[in-house]
Amino acid sequence: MSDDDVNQLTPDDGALDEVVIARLRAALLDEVEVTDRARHQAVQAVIDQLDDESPSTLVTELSSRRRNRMSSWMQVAAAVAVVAIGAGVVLQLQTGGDDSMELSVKQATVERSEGDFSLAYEEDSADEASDSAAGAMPEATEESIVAEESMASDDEMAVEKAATADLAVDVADLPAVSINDLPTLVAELIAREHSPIPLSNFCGLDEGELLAEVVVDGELVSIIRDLADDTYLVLNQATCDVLAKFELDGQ
Amino acid sequence: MANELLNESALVQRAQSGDRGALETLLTAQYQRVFAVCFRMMGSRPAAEDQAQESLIRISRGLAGFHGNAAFSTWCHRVATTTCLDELRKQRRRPSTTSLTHEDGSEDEKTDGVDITTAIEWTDVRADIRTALDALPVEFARAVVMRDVLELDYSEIADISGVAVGTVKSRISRGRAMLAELLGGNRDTGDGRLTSGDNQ
Repeated sequence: MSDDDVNQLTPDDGALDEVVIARLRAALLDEVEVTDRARHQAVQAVIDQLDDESPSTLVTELSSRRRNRMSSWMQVAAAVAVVAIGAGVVLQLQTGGDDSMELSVKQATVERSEGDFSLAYEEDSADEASDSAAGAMPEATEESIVAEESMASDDEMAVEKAATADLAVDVADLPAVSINDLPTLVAELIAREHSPIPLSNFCGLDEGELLAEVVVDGELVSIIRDLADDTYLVLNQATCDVLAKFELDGQ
Repeated sequence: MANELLNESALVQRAQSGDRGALETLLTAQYQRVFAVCFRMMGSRPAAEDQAQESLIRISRGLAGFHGNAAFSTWCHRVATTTCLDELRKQRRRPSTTSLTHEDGSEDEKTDGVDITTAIEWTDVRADIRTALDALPVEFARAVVMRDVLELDYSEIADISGVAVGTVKSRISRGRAMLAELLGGNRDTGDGRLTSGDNQ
């Protein structure tokens, strides 16, 4: 067979009869023995690992996840505060110097407004959220805020549920991005000084940084900076297929 | 069969929605094939167990991107081969530091990493198939197994075999012809494609 002949070959040239293929596959794949115990242990180990790491590694856009976690934390903290309020606990907020302020909570019938509770949702960053929370509190407490204990309990459950759901849908709600918009997205991520996750030996890459995980054309993909040549790769997370490769100068 | 596919599709949807029980059922059902693919590619059970587990993790993480365009088992097979390819490439890059020092102070010669072309073997398979594969030059047999059983494409086979794509094509063509003589003949191509996933 000459070189020219070889180069003309296609993947199915000279393909074997399907019966032969079936025999080969049966012998080489189907008849490989796996014990129930080994199967169970392997699957359970994977499930356990996913349970352990899901909040931190199944990421969407990294800075967004940090923001979500902080937001969730704020919501849970707010729920705890509501429980404390319902129990009639007196909280003191020190804002420093002459501006110190006392928040007194007494048993009464004033209902807490929704606005007090939503402050953690509306912040764009963890720092901003913290600042705003401290700033918004006095406004929220100009009137003595009291919730009935049962109401506080309901609120706590609702907020904790929301916080949990927020993390749970993190992956399911991955942002869908057009492949043409990826350079812009990467530029924005870098401009925001996000913290990439270092990767090594991932999908054939020696060294890289995970910038984000998004959905492109319905596929869950990882946006990775290849440190070897400072390019950006869009990889299908399951198959490691490279869907796109680009540099930040728009190429 | 149709019911099984419907059930599998429903399980995939539930797993994509975060149902851990459905995911566990799917992974349990796919484990044997995933392990078998890894076993053939890695060449030993311990290595196959590691890569099978890694494959299951990738399957779980990538499930959101599975849209049912192929059978779930086909997709899992592909994830398993990709996972093993990654590991084989990694092993090829990794310098070997293994050396044995004897009591007299002499050392065995160090090996230059892993020869991944020796990974695929079939000593455990049933006699008729093993006899046929053993009758072929080993590189021909491996190339056919990688293409027709493991469903790797030409470039992947070339990569892990350390030879040019043209050589891979030649080996597969010749290996198929020889295997056809031994096991039952070539199929006349032109109509249906035998395997999926070719990127050539």
